[in-house]
Amino acid sequence: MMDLFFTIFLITVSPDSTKCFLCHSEIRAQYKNSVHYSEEIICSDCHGGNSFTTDMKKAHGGNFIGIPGKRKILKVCSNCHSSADKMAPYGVPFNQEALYLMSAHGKLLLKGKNIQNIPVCSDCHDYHDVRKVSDKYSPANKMNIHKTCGVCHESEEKKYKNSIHYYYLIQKGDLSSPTCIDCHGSHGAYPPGYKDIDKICGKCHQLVRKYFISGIHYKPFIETGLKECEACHGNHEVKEKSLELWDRTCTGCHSEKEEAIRVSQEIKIFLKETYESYEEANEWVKKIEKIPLEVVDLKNRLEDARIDMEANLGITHLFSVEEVKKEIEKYKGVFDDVKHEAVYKFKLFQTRYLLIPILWFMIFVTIFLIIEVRRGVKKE
Amino acid sequence: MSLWNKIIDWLERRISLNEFISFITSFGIFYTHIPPDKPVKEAIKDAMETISPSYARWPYMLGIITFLLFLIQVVTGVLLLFFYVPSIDKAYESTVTIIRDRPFGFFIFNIHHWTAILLICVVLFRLGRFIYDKVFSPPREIFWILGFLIFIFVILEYITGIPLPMDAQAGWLSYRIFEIFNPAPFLGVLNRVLFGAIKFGDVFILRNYILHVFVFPLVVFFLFYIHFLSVRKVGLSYGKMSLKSPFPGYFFEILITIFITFGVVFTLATLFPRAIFQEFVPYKNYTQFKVPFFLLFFDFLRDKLPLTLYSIIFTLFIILPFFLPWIDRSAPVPLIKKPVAFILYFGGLLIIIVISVMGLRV
Repeated sequence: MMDLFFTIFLITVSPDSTKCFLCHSEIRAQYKNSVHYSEEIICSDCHGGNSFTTDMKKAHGGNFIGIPGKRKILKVCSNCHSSADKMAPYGVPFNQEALYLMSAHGKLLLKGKNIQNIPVCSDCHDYHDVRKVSDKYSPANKMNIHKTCGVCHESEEKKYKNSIHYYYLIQKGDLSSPTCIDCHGSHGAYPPGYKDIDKICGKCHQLVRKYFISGIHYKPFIETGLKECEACHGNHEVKEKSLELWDRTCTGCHSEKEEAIRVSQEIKIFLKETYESYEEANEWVKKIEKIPLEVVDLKNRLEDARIDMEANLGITHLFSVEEVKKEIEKYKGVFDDVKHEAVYKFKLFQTRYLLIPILWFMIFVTIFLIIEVRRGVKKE
Repeated sequence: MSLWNKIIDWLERRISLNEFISFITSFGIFYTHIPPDKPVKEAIKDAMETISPSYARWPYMLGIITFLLFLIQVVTGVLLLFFYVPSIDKAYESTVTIIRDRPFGFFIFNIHHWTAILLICVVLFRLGRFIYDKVFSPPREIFWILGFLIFIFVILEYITGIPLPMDAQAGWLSYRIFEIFNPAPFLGVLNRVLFGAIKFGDVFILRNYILHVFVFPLVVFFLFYIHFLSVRKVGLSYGKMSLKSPFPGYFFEILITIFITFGVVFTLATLFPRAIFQEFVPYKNYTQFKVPFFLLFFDFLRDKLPLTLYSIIFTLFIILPFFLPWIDRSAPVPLIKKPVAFILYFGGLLIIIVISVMGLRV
């Protein structure tokens, strides 16, 4: 009897048995995709009223709020999402409302001007179709964040799409590459101050930050209010590191006759030589691999050294020729070694060309002998 | 009676030595049949005294060189078989191991590669020479038909060998060659029956492997045998007939031919080895690799013509040449003495060459 009672009760409160969709049928499909549907959060949990009656008055009666306004949305969501006992079982943080209210978005909402343009929960997570962040169709998924933010911050999104971060995240699928929220925060989104840029970039580029802070540029940058990393690399449109950056950015502050330009050019030329010796070594290894000769060891050494060098290139932020040379020269040495070994292997391989004249000499001697023997046979 | 004679005598009582020798010498060594009812020594002596043009002289030696190259392919191919593994995972690795780590593997692999190319060149050249000298007038139509069959099967042998190393070039060219053969009525059906849709896997490699190392070589060998038998029956083509037997000088000439052929193949294999590229990845494009030179013509047509027209032309190119002896009934004199035929043949050849060069851009 008790079983029957529970069965009837469960059927009654399941999201499929709500009567709202009799009229609001267009919402049903969106709602069915949402995480709230699978967790049995029904219409009346957000909109109030009674979801299990076909009587319109009863359905839209009581605590019914209809379409909530921007501020109301925050309240409706935080009913559950700020409740530790409701969120803890799912492992979902419950401080999002507090974070949001402290963020630039939250502060604007509280100020109360033009609040229709200020994003609240439903603008980024959708309203009926609320999906898990890990769902690839969620607008809050890492791969979609730039589009979601780009709805309002259009020019920033445009710039971001030209950046190396976008290239690695979207085109190469490297999830360690940052999107908007990795630098600005998500619920607690806030534009960074000029002194904080090194901290934000340093979340990933730790070694670079270390060298930058101990380098000669840090103090003058802070004093003059220059935007640290952004001053040379840009912010949303961060390009891949390139030697060309040395020519373009230094002259922004330094005149061409200054010592600083000489130093930067010296570092640039040294780096260029190092890259060239890597390219040469790589070409030689590829060349002898096609023969094919054994190159596993050479390839490994070359790639290990290159990856290690890329990781340590942050030393250039010290802007000291000696320090850079001290750190990078060992990799250049490895590249040159690999190249010499590859060339040696190729030359050793070429010694088999010597077999050709030897073989032809033997062939001609044999033919000569055959002709001689033939002459003898003829005489007989 | 010396020991040697005793052995011969002993063997002759137990096996039909004449037939055995007749078989092995039919591959371009003895011009005439060795009758089975005579004692073997006498029969060989008779065969050596038969008056005939020397096989090892220009232009007859093209046939000998074809067979010689085929033999080199068999020997190097068997040596490669010892280390090659016909499976999608091991094919590339085992090929690299053969070339890089096995003693003489580099030479054996590259000699196999270059001999295949030379074989097709020589067979093609030989067909050209048949046309030029009008060798296929009766009763030698069979020379042309067999020569053309050998050409087709040598090509099949070549293209089934292409995917076996399974590097980027091998994999990509398998795709391209599949595209060329697939629209053709008969070969296309055969292609689809044998390979289905092209899908790189163990079975794809295995099918190519079986055809390459077993089926097609046997067919080519059989065709060579029939060809040499027909030479015994109807004699070599027209040329200066000497009034004495070419033996024993002929043996020495064959030996010299063998040495020089091997020297050429070895030199090419050492100086221009086939590069081994990265392992093939099925979803990548490798447009830098062009199809083999003898398929460039069809590659261009397939690219530019409607598929039906292309398949008709492809079929005609395979079927029509068999009927050439009945189509071209001109006098059996060199082509240079027949201006109309000369213009027709060389015009056709020139068109094929031009289209092939254009095919390089496809």
